[in-house]
Amino acid sequence: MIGADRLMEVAMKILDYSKPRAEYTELNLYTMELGLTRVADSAIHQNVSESEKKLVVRVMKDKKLGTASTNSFNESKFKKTIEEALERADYASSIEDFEPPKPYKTCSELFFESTANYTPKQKAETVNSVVEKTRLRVDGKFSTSVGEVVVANSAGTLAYANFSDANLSLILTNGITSGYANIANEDVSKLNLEEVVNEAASKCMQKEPIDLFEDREEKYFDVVLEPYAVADWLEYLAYLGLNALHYQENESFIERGDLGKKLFGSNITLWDDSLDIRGYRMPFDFEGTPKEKIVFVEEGVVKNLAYDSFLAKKENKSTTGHALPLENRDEGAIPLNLFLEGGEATMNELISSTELGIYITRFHYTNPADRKKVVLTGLTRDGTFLIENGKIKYPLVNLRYLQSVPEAFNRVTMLSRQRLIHDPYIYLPIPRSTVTPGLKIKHVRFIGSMRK
Amino acid sequence: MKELAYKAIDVAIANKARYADIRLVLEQEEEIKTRNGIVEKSFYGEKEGFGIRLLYDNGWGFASSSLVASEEIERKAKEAIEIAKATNYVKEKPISLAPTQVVEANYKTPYQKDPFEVKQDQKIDLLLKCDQAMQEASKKLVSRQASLKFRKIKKIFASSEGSLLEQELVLSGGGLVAIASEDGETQVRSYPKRDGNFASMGYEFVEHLDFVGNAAKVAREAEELLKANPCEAKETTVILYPSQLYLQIHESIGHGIELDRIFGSEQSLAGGSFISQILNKLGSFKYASPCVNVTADATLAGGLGTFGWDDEGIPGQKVDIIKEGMLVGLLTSRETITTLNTLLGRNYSPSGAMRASSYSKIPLIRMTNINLLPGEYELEAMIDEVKDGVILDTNYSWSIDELRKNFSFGTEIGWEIKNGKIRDMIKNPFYTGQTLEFWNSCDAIANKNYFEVYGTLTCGKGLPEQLIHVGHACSPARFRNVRVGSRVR
Ligand SMILES: [Zn+2]
Repeated sequence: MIGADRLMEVAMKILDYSKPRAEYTELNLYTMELGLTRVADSAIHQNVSESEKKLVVRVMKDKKLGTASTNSFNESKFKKTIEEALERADYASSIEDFEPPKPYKTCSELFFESTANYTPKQKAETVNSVVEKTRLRVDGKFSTSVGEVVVANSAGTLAYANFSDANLSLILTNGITSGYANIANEDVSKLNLEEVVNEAASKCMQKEPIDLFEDREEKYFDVVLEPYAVADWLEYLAYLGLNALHYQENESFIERGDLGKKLFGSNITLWDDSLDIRGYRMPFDFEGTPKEKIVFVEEGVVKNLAYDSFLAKKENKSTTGHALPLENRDEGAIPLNLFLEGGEATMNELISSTELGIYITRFHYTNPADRKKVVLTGLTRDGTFLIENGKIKYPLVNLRYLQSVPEAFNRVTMLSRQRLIHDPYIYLPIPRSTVTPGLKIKHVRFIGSMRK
Repeated sequence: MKELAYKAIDVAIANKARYADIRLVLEQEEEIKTRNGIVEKSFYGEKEGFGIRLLYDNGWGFASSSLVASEEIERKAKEAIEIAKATNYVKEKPISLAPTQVVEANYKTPYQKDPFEVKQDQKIDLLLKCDQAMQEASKKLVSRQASLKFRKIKKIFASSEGSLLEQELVLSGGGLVAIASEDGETQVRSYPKRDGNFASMGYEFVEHLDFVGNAAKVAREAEELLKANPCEAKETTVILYPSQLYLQIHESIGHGIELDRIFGSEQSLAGGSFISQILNKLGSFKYASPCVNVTADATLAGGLGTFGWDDEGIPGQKVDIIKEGMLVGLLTSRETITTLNTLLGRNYSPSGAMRASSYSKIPLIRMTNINLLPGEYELEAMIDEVKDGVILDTNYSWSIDELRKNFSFGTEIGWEIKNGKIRDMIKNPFYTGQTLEFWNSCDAIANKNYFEVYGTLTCGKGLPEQLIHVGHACSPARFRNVRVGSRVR
């Protein structure tokens, strides 16, 4: 980490250089230190460290925008980068829909020393204790990272935050079935190893999985989804459906006039809150808008979409604080710190109240089959079971589903308590997470299986 | 630069690494994107850095940094040693690397027009012309997008064995997207595909794609799709055009033949490969029908996965993967090929497939250009033989299981075939199947006149995820008894 004072000083220097040359300048500065240990077949096979930084600057000249980036903060490099951005602005076409967010200043130190100082040796010792604790084959990853972000602009915004992440995920296999579990915390010392090992191990059953698709006919089942699986669906629902860009281009399931309409069951309340300590924290977005809790769905009724200031201006609205990093701004606005309201039930109660259904730990390779209707397809993975008369009966060969999420969220019959889900595969300094309950959902469509 | 590279090797060896390599990389990228007549993004980025990979006893260590300076290289080489020592702390597995020739050489992507030398106003003018052509062709469009992207990657590879390789790779391409909407229905059409098409070529590839000439068609088809009938659910004959077929090859052949994945190294993210269960039949396993021939070809002119050497210093080469339907080859590395040779008692050489997406990442086994070789058919004759079927074009969605067996794809557009003739356009096509059944049902491949090269910049693998450029060349192909339907009801 470079540190708040030094990094903000870099930001000010860049703005000072750019100010006389551009009508408006905004920048994102990042640093990241990552250590990642990867395990395959109970041995470490990949073990890496990354030390990254980045400056992205966008300038406006005659209402025209140009963007440039570099991964060096030295003076000659950032000057050259600004000149590049200015030259690009010269050639661009002028835009109307732009109004910088209100000036904002903050310096938020959110990172944990314990995570920052965690060594590869300590990770190896942790991995070793997992391998020794269990007789199962161990695959997984253990990462610790720290990051910093500065968002600044020539209208007076100067916002700094740093943060940390410790993340451990395991797939344990007994040769017949496998189980997955993940734990994450901003503070590495809070990770409970015992818990994650037991959770993953509990999914390994000494019974041959059964294939429900020998007849190759599509089927509908009630499902009990663990929070891992729910988080997967929620993140796609947010990216595809709550993104104002997709709404404006008619690619969202929320259409003009749908705000205030009940599109989900009454037990669905979904919001974004990156200040809530139950999730990962980020005090501002990448335009420097301070974060607040934004409710998207309240008791089934659609209340809001996610905007940055550019998308908001098109509808004469205000930003909701969901601007993406400058280089991704063309992908719209995405909520990254989701919360789905939970219930009081335990996962066991979701199972015991199910006569016939499928228990799903998590999904694999989920992708939108239809973006507008948020029809997702993917497979189940690392813990799929048949529930009969309130009991887990036997493991199942992984199934392929094809299901509209908004439709499914009209058929949720039970919700468990919430938990944090955070198993990133991209490590940018963007703290994101989903806090969600497990769900019992009626009548989910399955179209195939992996077969034996 | 060379001195810095040698410095890393010296520090690694002085600290008892038994093998070490370093990559020093400088990457330039340009992206211009217009949306509804406005230049939404005009971006130029540069990044440089290095990554040191080394082997200490039987453990790998890797450390990277964006600060290219002598002291930082020394610091990171020592850090990589510490990381490798930590690797050894857990159960050791013997590692040995297949021998390679020590080479000092250069490679440069052959190109005619350096895309970074082409003026910005020329590029913007092209995109805005496309935008206008789309706007004129349809009044139903809610979004018109046009984009260009260029990358230049300069890298130096040096190894403790003495190889020193310098490469300059140039990638160029772009795409058009039209989104039409009416009465709550939205349809997308793109050219050549939604994320664009890219090649290891210069600006001449952009000219070759003729974006302006294709813009009106993209817009019209997006509009026509609004009124088209949905793809009927049935088991039928399918003809895949290259802008869908390339991804079918990618997902249901390409990823599954990565030997690191076969050995389980991707279990913690993307999963394994069903090939691990039949590995001892390599050379005699029937993967596909006899008309199917697939190569991994890092020498294909213009292919997005074309290069001089991989990131272990192995030369880019052409390898047979499927020969007359039989699985005969895999994508391999120096480490995995040694394991395979020991396991099967054979004598394969590494295929030259280890690549890293950036200086900050370790090399993994990646696809090069995985090509389905052309057959003998004229496209018309291929269609003529179909009594009832569909043509599917341009990928819309994709998903495949963790062992690469059960896949599903959606395409942007399709057409019915009735009695050997192309009939009505169909919307929302979706098909699903099993890898081996599917490839064994291939009974016709169009000839070399229809052979097209597709490239994607965003093939994902590894942790942290690495997005890399790979290529696929193919001609339209026909498959029997495929389950098709509509992605929405
Ligand atoms: Zn891929």
